[in-house]
Amino acid sequence: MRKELPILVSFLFGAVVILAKYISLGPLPELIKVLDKWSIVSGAFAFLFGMINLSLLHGHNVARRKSDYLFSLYFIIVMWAFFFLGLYQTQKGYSYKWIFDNVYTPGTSTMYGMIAFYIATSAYRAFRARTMEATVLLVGAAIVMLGNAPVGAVIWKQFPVISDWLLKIPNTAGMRGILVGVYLGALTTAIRIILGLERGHLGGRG
Amino acid sequence: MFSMYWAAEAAKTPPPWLGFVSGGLAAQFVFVVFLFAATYGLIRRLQGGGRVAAIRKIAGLDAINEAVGRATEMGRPVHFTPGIGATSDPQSYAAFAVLGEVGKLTARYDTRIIVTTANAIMTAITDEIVRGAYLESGRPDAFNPDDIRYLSSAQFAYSAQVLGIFEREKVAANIMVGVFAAEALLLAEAGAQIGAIQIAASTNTFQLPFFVAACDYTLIGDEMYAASAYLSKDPALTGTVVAEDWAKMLILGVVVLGAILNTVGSKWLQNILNR
Amino acid sequence: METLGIWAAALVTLAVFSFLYRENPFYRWAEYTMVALAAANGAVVTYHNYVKPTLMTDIVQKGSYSLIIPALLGLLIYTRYFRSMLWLSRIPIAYWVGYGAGYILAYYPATLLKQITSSFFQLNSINNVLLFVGVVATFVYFIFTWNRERYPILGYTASVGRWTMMIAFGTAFGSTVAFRFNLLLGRLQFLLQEWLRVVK
Repeated sequence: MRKELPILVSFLFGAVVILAKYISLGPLPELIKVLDKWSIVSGAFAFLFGMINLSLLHGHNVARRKSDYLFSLYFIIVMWAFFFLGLYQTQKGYSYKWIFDNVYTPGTSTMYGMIAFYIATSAYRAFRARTMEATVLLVGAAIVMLGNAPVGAVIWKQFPVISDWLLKIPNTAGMRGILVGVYLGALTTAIRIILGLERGHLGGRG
Repeated sequence: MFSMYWAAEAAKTPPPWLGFVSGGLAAQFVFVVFLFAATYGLIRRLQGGGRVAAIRKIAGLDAINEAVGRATEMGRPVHFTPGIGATSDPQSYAAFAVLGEVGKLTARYDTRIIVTTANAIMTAITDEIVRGAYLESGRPDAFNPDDIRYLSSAQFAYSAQVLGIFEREKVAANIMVGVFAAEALLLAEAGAQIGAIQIAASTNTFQLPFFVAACDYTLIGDEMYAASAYLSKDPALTGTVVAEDWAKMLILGVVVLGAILNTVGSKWLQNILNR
Repeated sequence: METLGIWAAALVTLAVFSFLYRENPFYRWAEYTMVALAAANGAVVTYHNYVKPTLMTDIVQKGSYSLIIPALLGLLIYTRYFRSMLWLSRIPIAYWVGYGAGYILAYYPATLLKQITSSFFQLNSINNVLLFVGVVATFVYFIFTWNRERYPILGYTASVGRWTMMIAFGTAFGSTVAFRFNLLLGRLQFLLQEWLRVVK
């Protein structure tokens, strides 16, 4: 029972969603709204799972005095303090919002901004690889960059024209070809899940 | 002329035998039924002793063994991430399948595996998968639940800690299969800078270029969905890939026919598919 | 309070940038802080936007008692922390993944068919023919089980597809660069203008 029940649950709810979408018989079309709501509610009640996972991990670090245990201790305190502050104040509370706007947001925006440095280093990495494919990739990237920047047209008037063509033809074609395969692959994968052929996530062989 | 008009109009309305199908979904319904039927038929044929078609070589998947092997030689951990997706993203299912195989390898080679996730439920699932892989490999006691880590659902907070883990834990192999957005390059480039052997898989056409530039191997688009069958060599799973290829041939035929018809000015096929 | 906020933001910004030099305790502080705040914020938002309204409004006020079922389903995930009950946590996982798979089969075919019909190019110009060949060749690259030695045409077509994709990736790479640099400039602007006030 312990093995079969989860597979049955997966099959049943998966099948109901599919039927509810395509078949306009009886209560089926209404059922999809119920399941949508159930999905949101059940997911919401798992809201503490992540914080418990983090607390256990960092709690172990502290208990075993691992190398960074002071950071772990700091982590547990900050996370739960911020959580209770938010519970009490809601996310619109003054202190909560102040911490969020002045500590969290600048930190994550800086992470986002750091991508610019990494674009440069990854381009250099591709350049050093000296394979034919990497060269094609870099030449394509360079033409589009020059086509987009005003300086490109100053160097050679055709840069914007070629860049535009590359984006309209090979880019569209390549991306479309990938996407058609991707959607089909997603459907096949979903069929495997519903039929229980892949069940590693349910503790079975998958 | 009249008959062409009639054919075009008829193509817009679904045939009566599909009357139970919700409006505008007839073609989609028929396609899904075809996919299910082809899959079921092929699995039955394979179970009846039919031959299994081989999946063409996918270098990125062959490299998983090499990556785990390298980490083992160096005595350093393997890092796996299913990205920032959730349980409703098909890429996550591909990640489950690859993680199952990676988990078995790390269990067999006695190499540490660190899994980081950006979704609490995905943490529970990846825990289940790695736990199962260690159990199946006969090494349940080597499984360390503390190495299956949730790092918040915010993509850049998540990436910040992955970068830290790369450096502090001296990760030797980095396998990324799943949903990736703007953080893709942060993870891939940071992985490259610590010299980890990297395998990435994505269906996101905006992020694939960065994976291609920064990783040793990149699984492009649908290659990721073929991973479960390719790695497990399970006949039933391979059957689903064969069925998918039949659907691809069908689509190929439809696209060629559609282009020809469109060139001569007929919207007949287009109307059928939209009804 | 505003000045303090600018200083706090500047400190975190510098701490994150310090990673570019190397991993260090200053960065680690920012990293642990961001993850702690993000994890707590995720839970806070879910609590206020979903958990509380479901309990207080839907179940207690409106009497939608059927919602107790998904609520309990979600709570089952916590059985993962008890070895003897761990198997129960597979039931919500089965629900979420089964629902997700069903959702894919219900909603993806529409997009797939749209991608297919928009590939019905009128073959009346060089550009359209190239588009058509590019799409078909790329798609053929993803045929996995038809032997390319037996059907050499598939092999040739697939390699055209591979090159098409490389050009597509290159152009996509090039077109995101400007946007990414703007984000970096935004952070530098904050440090120089709002914090140090050396640039007006």
